[in-house]
Amino acid sequence: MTHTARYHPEFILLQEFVQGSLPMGINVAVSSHVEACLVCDQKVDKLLKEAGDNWQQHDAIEYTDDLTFIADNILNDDALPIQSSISSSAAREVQIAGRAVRLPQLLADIYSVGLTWKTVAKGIQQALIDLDSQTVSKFVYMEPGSRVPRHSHMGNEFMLVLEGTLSDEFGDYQELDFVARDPQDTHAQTTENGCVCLFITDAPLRFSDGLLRLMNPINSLQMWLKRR
Amino acid sequence: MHAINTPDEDSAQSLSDESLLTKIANHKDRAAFGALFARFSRRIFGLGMRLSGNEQLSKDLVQEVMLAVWQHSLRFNSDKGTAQSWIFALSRNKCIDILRKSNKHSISVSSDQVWPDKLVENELVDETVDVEKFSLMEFEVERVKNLCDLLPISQKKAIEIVYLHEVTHEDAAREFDIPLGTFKSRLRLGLIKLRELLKEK
Repeated sequence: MTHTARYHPEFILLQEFVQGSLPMGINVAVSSHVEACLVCDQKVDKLLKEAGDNWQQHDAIEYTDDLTFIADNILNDDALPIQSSISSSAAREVQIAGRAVRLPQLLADIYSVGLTWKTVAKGIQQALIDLDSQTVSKFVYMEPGSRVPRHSHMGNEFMLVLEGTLSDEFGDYQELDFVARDPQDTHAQTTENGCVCLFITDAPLRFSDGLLRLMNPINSLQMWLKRR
Repeated sequence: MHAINTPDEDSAQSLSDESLLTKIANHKDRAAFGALFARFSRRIFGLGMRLSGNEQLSKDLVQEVMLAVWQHSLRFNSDKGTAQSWIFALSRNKCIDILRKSNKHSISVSSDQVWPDKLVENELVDETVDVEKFSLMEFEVERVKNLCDLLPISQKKAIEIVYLHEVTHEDAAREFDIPLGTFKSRLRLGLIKLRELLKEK
């Protein structure tokens, strides 16, 4: 990619990313930024080292069952098949509305599945991608001069600019910029020359159920947002 | 694993995580595995509980991760990080993949796409590399030698002995004192990486 990002995921979001505790949609957005951003890539490496070092305390748990039977299972049955997966490497250069867009590998793989574009407002099209049940994830194309009217969100919104530029009251964003908005932020987005972006929004309504709450550590994200 | 530790197990307990992994990789050392299991099983279980909240799933996770450690310890590369962070990343990735299996979405994304980490070799069995037929003849020997320096030392040695010294796989395995299958997978991993490197330049 040609640009160096100027907006990055906050430290705590990278931390959650390394811990594996984010919904897949947000993982995809963070991972795509990290792939192309040397600064964040190095932070992630460092965080992984720390996660290893602090693991014992971090995931300490009151649990008395003996687990050694599992070790015996493994040693006594070494013939279990090796798992295999097929690595994909879809083309990274794609054409969206006649614009040449260079996608991070993960998004290229997702894109290659085939998307359905729908016009959602004048000059704006989106293609939903079904990544998990906690977020709404989509590619969005905004044609030159188009505008998303002022709005706020039910939850958090994460945006990764893939091509072109767009602006809101808080700044101007270009290729690879990663922007997070919390539910209090009200903004309107405009694009002079058009853009292609990835948008992820979480749906806080999903958190009510007890088990899901456990499975859905974005709660810690919300705590983080409240702390700011 | 037993009420009374054997001498092997006593000595294993004083070793670093990295040394234990090496013993597993080179000798399929069961005592080393037992010591590593004792150190990591609860952490893996705790990670599973944190991410899934499900006890059975977390036990399955311990099994899957420690099986991968037992079978794929060769993939650990101490140049790239600690054993703790390697096993941590392995556990996180497997946990996310298990969780996603039970939760069907139209787009499948696997953990090694999300965390294409240098610490975690993708668990792919690359069928396009046929160890028996792979030929380095088409490449300059000097260039291959230079690129081999970028590989983990065990993989570099495996490639050198077969392709530069033309030793058979069987003899090479005997030379390194490792099972033939272990030698072949080491060679295969090295070749996969080497091929990537050759493509890059």
